[in-house]
Amino acid sequence: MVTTDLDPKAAPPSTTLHPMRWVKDNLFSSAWNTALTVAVAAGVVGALFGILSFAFAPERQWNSVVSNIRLYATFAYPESDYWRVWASLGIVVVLTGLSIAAWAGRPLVAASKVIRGAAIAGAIVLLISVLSPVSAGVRVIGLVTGLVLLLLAFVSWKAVPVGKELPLLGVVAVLAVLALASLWILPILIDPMEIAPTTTIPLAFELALGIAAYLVGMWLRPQVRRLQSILVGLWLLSVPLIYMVILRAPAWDWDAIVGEDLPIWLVFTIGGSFLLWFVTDPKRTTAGGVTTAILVLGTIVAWTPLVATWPWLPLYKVRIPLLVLALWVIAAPSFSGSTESRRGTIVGWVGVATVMAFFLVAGTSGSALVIQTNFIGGLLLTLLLSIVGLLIAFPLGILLALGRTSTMPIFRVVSTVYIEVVRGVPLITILFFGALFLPLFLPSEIRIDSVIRALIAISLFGAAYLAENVRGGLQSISTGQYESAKAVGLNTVQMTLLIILPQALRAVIPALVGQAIAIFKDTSLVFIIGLTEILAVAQKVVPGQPSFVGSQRENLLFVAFVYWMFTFTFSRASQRLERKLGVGER
Amino acid sequence: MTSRKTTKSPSAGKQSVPLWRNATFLKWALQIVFLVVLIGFAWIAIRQVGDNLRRIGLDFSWDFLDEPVGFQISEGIFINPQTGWQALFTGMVNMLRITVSGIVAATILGVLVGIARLSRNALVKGVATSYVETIRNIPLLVQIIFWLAFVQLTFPKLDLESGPIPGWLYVSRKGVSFAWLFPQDSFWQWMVALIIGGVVSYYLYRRLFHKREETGQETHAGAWALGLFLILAVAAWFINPIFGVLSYVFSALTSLFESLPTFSMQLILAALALFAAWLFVKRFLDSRRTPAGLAKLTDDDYFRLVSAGVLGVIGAGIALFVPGIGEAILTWGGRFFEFVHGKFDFNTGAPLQGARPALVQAGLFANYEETGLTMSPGFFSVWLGVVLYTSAFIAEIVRGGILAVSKGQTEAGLAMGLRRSQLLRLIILPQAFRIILPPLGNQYLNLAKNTSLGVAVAFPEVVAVGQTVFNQRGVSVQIILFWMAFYLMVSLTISAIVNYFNRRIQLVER
Repeated sequence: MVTTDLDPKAAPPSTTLHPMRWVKDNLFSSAWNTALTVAVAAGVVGALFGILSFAFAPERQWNSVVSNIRLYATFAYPESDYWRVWASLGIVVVLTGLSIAAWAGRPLVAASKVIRGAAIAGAIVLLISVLSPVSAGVRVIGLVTGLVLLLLAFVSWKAVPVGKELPLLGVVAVLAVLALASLWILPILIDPMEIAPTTTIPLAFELALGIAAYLVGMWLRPQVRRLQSILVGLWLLSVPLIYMVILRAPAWDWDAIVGEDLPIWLVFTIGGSFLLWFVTDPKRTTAGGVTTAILVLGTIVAWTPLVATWPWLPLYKVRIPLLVLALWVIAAPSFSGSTESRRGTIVGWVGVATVMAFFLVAGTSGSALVIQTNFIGGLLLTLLLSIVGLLIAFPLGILLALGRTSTMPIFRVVSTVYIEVVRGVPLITILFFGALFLPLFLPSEIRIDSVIRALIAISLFGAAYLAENVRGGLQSISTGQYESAKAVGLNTVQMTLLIILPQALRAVIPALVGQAIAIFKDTSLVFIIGLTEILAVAQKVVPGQPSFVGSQRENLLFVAFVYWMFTFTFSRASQRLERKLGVGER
Repeated sequence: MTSRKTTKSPSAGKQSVPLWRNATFLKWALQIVFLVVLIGFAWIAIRQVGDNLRRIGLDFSWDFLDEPVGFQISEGIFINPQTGWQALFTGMVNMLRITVSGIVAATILGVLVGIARLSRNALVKGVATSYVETIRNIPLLVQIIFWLAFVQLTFPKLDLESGPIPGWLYVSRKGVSFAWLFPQDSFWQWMVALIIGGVVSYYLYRRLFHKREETGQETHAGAWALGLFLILAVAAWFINPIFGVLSYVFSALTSLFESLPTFSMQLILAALALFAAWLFVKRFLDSRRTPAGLAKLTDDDYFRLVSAGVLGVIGAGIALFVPGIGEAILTWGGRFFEFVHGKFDFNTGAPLQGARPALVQAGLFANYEETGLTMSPGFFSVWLGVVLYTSAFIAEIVRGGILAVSKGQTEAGLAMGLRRSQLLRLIILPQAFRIILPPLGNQYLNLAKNTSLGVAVAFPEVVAVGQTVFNQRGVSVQIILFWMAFYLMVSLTISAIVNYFNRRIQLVER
């Protein structure tokens, strides 16, 4: 028997180095390294000095950013309806809080990391206060802040034991509260700055809401069985809810709702339920198949110009539910063997039909907001284009990827040609295509909004790129998965949806997040076709105000910072996710 | 790709399977229904576009390429374009100028930053990392517009005494202007000589190199080849007009294109389409041939054969029944060879001539073409934007490629006594290059496509010029098709070049 005096439960020996030792090893290990360090340090200080003396020069008009922050957020959204914006943000904040609780629980972060972060922040604040051409008072405040941070870091580095971990969300909450507090403190320090309470109070309220939602989520976590699935559904619902209902403020036309929409909804839910019950009956497969075929043919006919006039109804109110019902009926028999699952498909249909009817009415009614131009702009438009664009592009991309890897040649050729053509041309040509071409495709009576046109163009563009990512995932699935799925008797639809796609998508999550970030950055191009997203505000709107002529650089830097914050956060989150999933190590 | 078809049981043919359960039938029925729906929608859409165009008084004609346009272009070969084609051509050349110079600069910068990302010096590593993380997380359009604003608001005003090197280099709100060599009339004659010289020197190099490998004697292959090339280049500088004999070839081609009747061109095109289809079918069948005879063809194989045949026939039909295509090829081919003929017309004089930036008056450069090269603010901002943006992505690719070379290579190199720089140059980079090249090619494609953002800063590349043309003539449909065709062609060219090098450097596995 081998004896050992090592305690198997002991932590591994600490690998953290003394700061001075780290500096010596990494910066001054040899003569060449020392020279390099000195040269680069001189360059960095010089560059920083240049940037800071540019950024803090007295003639910089940073107040052009501060006083136009609402233009950046929502552009010309009317002041009287601004609660709608806060309500939308509130929905997002609550869902975020709940989601963090549902997925992450109580994540921890090493105390040493927090200490290092504080030390680096202190050093940066010190450096900035030394190099910037600011007034003596501000410089002293900066120096004191930096020194305090450094001192705190040093003291806690001595005091906190190695391996100690802090709750990550606590740290984030403290930072958020500090950032919020700075909204009150900064205007005191910097004289001409002013932040209205209509901004600060709702922001504080939203932060509190987020924290409350997180606590509620932690309480719900052990009690609600399928919290994560429910949240995914709520997230998906929140996008059209915010866009079509809250921000658009639809003017409900009650006569049409009672006279047209309600009866149509009743016909489709009740009739659809009976139809589903019939086609999912395992004893009547042939009759069910014939019924399905008739329904599909009817749908196709309804969508052709053969049915171009419908005497008493707008045509889309029938066409769209009919199409969804047809797809539902095609898919249903694959997923319903037992009576219980047959009931499930019907309940699902009623839910989908209801949500769809609601959004059809909300999306097609007029807006109650009194504005001349597009009702949203600024960051809101950027987010809308990227989120809705992604939501449309993602299923389209999956379909294209399945088509491209299909054994059926016509699907393959069509998908391949589409993907390669779209990937071969720049986004701006597709945006022009959307802006100039799309109206030509449609009958002259139908006019579509320029935001919708840009949305379609971005979705068509993103789908081709997402399809290539998904294809990578599909090709990583071994043949054994297909064979065993067939062996247990799944049909092609079941195999694809239940076996192949879940594995394929999981394998390419990092690539998909990367593509999502790229699409987010690409939305800035709608500026060229004349929409006022955040970049257009910085380039055209703010410098166009008489008091802020020539303030492009400040505003562009601000916009660059906003974009950077979003994309950097997302890419870091995706790296965490990648490590957590261990993709590539399985 | 693996085949996922279930194999049919031998008795499948005898048992009567109802049609709606026959997998092959269902598959093809589904695809044909899909195709019919797709073609139907395309047909309706195209008819709708035609109706809408007619309603607003426009037609789908390409005449604008040949008709005068009434605008000027701020920079490029034709700053006063006579026709729509000249305007678009100027835009294309401007786009290619940024693309080619941008690819070179972005590659150099990207490789340097990528290596710096892996430096053992923490400060160098940190600076490179912050560079990459800053640049690639900000949309390119924001960067380009920022650079434009920076040039226009921060750079000094232009006057005679300004410029870091007055007379040679000016940096001002009008852009960056510096002395440059410009090709003259005899440039292309000289170019032919250079190409011939290059080929000859390359063969000399190969021979001397082989000789060294066989005999072991130092043959100084590189030095001899370079010397020969330089001698030929210098000689050709003076005697290049002899290549004017090529003008006879081009004038013959011009008159051939001008004298050929349209119908013969149509026949040639139709024959080409049929020949291409036949070639595809033949090669395809050859590839399916095994020593035991022709392999059993799958559905997919039949589909390819049939569609190749159908496409060939359709192509031939279009060539025969749409005379415009043959006519356009003849006209534009004749014009092209006439243009080339002018470049080889026994031109005399030096092929290249230097020119310094010359100010006509304070605040204005004369005409950039004859007086030094000017990077206009638009060119400068687009160029800087795409170079910095692409270099950040290239840096990440280079870093990934270097990390992917196995650690044993580093250790073996160090064990042999190589210095760090030698190790990188001789061992790591050549191996990393194999991994780097395919994603690098993707970045080149992105760079080429990103030059289209020039439209936002009024740099006259092909999108900006196209936009001006359709604003003037209302030919939006044609211009969008033109853009797509042009960018697809550039993309295909770049990927063909990258693929060629990729095939050459990949390890051949058997």
